[in-house]
Amino acid sequence: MDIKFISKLIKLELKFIFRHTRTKQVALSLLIAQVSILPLIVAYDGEFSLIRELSTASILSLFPGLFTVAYGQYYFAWDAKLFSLLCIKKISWTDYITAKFLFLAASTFSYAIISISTLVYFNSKLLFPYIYTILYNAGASSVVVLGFALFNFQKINASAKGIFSNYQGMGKNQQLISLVIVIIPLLLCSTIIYTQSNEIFYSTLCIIGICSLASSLWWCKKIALKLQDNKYKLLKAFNNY
Amino acid sequence: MVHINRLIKKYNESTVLNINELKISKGQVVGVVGNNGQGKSTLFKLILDLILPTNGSVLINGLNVKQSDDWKAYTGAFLDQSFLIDFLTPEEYFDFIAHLNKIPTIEISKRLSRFCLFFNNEILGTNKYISDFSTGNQSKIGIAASFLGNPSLVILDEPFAHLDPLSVSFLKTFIKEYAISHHATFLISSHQLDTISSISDRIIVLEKGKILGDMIKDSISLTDLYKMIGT
Repeated sequence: MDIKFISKLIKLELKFIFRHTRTKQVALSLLIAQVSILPLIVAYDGEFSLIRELSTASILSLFPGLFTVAYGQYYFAWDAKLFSLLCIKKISWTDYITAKFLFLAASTFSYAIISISTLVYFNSKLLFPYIYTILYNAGASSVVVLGFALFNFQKINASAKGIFSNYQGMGKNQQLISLVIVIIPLLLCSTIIYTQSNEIFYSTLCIIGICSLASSLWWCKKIALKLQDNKYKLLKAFNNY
Repeated sequence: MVHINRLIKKYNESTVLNINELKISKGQVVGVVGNNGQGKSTLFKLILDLILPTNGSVLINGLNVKQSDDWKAYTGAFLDQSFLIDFLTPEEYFDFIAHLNKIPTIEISKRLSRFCLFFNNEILGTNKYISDFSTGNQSKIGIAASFLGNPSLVILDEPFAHLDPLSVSFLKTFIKEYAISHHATFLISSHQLDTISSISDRIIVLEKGKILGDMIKDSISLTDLYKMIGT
């Protein structure tokens, strides 16, 4: 594994986000959206109430991964400017995918670091559930999003303005990816109804998250192989080759 | 060095390239000429494994470009603006390319110093993103980057387009000298027949995806070349 190459790609990703209008808007608006869950956390008093548990569980499990889903699903479309260059260079595609995975996981952990101090200050009872959802999003969501991004052949203009009125790049793949990311935690939420407890829900998310993080290199290798299979399709879609 | 064997590229039912056999020896500077849409860029993309051939193969130093990555270590190319990372400054871009080519950072400025005249103080130190440069200057950045790894095979698609006469003159001299000093093989396409014929050892004329003519430069005059491609 070429750590220097991976760090160069992550640095490049940051430059890409902050030097394009659309990506900058995605990053900043999602950060605001993510911060907006804090009042809910503050209002949570820890005593069991089914509706409150369900709403807290669903929001807690989805919000830390918002950026991962919104940005990551277009990963290879964003990289159209880089892709043909990388294809003629002798690089490790596993390192390339690892850099992408680490970036998404790091974005989730960064958000956790920003928000966790507020959470602990107002309501320490949600600390561990919150950490479990962070692990789930950093691991599982990042892998799922990267895998699905390989099948997104829609062109996208990173400099376009108006993210909420701009549906460029949207396709069936985006709807499917959102369904997968939303449905898994929501299905797991049903365990709260049956058991009248949130323990199974959070511990399952935690186990899935840890397993995904532990097996992330394996997943990155698999995705890298698939990327090489899809190379010509991606080049054709993004660069008219 | 480059061996093309029964290479066919079709889009739907339309054949855009059909080359039965083409061998390019090490150290040869090969000019590829032809009107628009005759298959020059398609040929280069197939050599660089950027598109999938319908049939046939491309071998570089005996290795099939589809099956091995080894040829990438000694191949430099600039086909179009998609080879640039336009949200970077030229310095950042060259640094990234240097890393891809495993060139130490200290070596970058030394290798770029060969292009001082070519850059004409308009590229480095300007603090501008590549997207903000003119098309000509973007081409200069891409061309210089393709030489950064000191490749022994260089593929350039229309490198003289968008360049001013002084830069064309520099690039012609640079290619000639580089080919000799590094015993490098070049594949260069151009519409500027006088320019391409002045630097090439061999000229290949493409028409409708097929090789219409393949000749050593001395055996053909510029007038014949103009007649052949119908301009």
